[in-house]
Amino acid sequence: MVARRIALVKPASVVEEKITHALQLFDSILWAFQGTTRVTWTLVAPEAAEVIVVHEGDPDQRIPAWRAGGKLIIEISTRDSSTSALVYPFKASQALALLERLGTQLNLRGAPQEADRSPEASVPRRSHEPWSFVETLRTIAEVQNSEAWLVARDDRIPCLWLRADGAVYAAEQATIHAIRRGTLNLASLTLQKGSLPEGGPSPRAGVELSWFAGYYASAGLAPWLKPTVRYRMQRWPNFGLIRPLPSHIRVAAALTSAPGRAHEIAARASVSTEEATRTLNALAVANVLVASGDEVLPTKIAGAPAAAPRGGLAVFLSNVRRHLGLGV
Amino acid sequence: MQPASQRFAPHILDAVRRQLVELVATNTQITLAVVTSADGFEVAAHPDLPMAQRIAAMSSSLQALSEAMAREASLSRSRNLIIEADSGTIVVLGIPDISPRLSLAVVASGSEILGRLLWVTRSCSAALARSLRA
Amino acid sequence: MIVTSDQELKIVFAGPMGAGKTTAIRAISDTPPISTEVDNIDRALCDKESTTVALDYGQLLLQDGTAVRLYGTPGQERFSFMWEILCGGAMGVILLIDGSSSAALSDLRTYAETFHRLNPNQPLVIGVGRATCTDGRQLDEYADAVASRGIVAPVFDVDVRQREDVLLLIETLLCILEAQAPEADHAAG
Repeated sequence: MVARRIALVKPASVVEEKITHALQLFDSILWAFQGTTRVTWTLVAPEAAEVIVVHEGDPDQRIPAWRAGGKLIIEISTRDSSTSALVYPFKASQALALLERLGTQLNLRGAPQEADRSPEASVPRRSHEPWSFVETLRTIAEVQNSEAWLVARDDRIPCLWLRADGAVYAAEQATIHAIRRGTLNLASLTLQKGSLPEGGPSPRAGVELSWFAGYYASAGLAPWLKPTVRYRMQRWPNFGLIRPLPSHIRVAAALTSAPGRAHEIAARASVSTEEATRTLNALAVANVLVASGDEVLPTKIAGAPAAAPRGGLAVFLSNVRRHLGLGV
Repeated sequence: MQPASQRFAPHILDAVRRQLVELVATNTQITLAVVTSADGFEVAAHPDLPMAQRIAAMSSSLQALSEAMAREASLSRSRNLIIEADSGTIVVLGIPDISPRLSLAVVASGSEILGRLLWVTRSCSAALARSLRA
Repeated sequence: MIVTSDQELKIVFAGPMGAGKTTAIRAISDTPPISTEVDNIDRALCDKESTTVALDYGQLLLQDGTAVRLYGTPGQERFSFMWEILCGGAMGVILLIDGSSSAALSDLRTYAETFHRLNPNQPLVIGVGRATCTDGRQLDEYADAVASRGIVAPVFDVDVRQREDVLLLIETLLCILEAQAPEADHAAG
């Protein structure tokens, strides 16, 4: 296997959060596909790199010098209309195809050099970007490797185990509660190849982890969602495995009646805009959210109960929920 | 799926069918007689009408509901179920002392007197019980 | 003519034999459920000791005196006449499927299509018990099967022996009802 060196360079001043996310996504793909491609890509400092990944239009004065010095410069764009090799959000397969081409191009130049193993030459593996863990989960889901396991460490202590296709995870009860309450900073975890310990915690559905990771990642819309777009659900997520909060069900139900933007769904579901936004994020991570086109939307299904409850539907639903101990 | 009729020996089923034929032949207002298992399968019917299977299923549902209703009302075991429609009457009786349980559903047109219908249906039910125990 | 009082509110639990309808009603009913179970003679079709031949009945008795009736349909197709009778005027249908059955997917298609056809506007929530995969993959296939027939319905992994799982199905049904209601009917909180 051939070893190559690559650097990711964030712009000095980041105007758009999406730029950071785009680079983070690339980073996650590099990591997730380690050992599975013909070329092994090692993250290093730009000065030691053969390939440098930058944001399109980055005014960094070093870029022309790197280019002139023979380094391959790859521009990732966050503009839909861009002709760059990679336009965010891009699929893992696109990034891998690009890396394959780069590897071939470098091979044609000559033998690869030994990677500079000095600490100065390597960059820290993990960032604390709020979406980093989610991006990693999304990348893993594309890999579909059900044979391997990964272990996530919190300050070097293993705290959860994830099958490398993301379909199953395991953790102690306290960790599960923290994930479900949003008190575990998933973005700070480091993921490495590992194995589920014998007699360890029982596996749980990975969709639960990805749901709450997506829900708690940020109060703002996920980087790959657009505030101007109305979204709809292709299908319901498997709430039997996720065990959602009551508000999640309300938002999902609101989406079945008509597509919407976060604030529209919030009004329909009688939740806050932040709540609707977070749930949209979770639905997107669960891969059930799609952008709705400009098609004429069907009018609401006339699904009111055949009989009118005493006091009206709202009072009735409130009474039933109270009676059954269901949350609002 | 094993037809309910196959739960009985052929000669017993023949006797059952003969009794149903006789019931219908001697009571011109009776349009259908069906022996039904508790789980809603047709054991035997005369005449062999397409609706006999559905009548069998419905009569077992009604029988079960009537028994549940009798229990709920703290009455002892439900004996007969009578449906009086504008143009006819349906009687559903449990066939006594038979295990697994069976019932007899008899459909009669409007001019049949209820009392007489109950009497002939009970007689047939008793005769069926004797045949089935044979 | 069926006379429906203004308090005739009902939820129907449907599905093939052995899927857990009686169990689900028992898990949440405020009164001991009424059952119309008889011995199941045909064990080849389904290896259960008993089978429902008419309906199961339970109820929720709300504080304001409203009774929400919970009906369980018989599972076997020869009692399909009961499905239409029970589903008429229901707030919604909760369809239960036994995920461990070899006929689970075909049962899901058949029952979902049947109940959707009986009333296309009636909310349908699907619970799959005893699913054989812990990673949810089995249900992805089931959800696709339902969606491909133009039926918008949630499909969840559940264990109806657990009250909280039955409540999840009920809560989802309530949320769908709420979302489909005209704006003026929406709850203030």
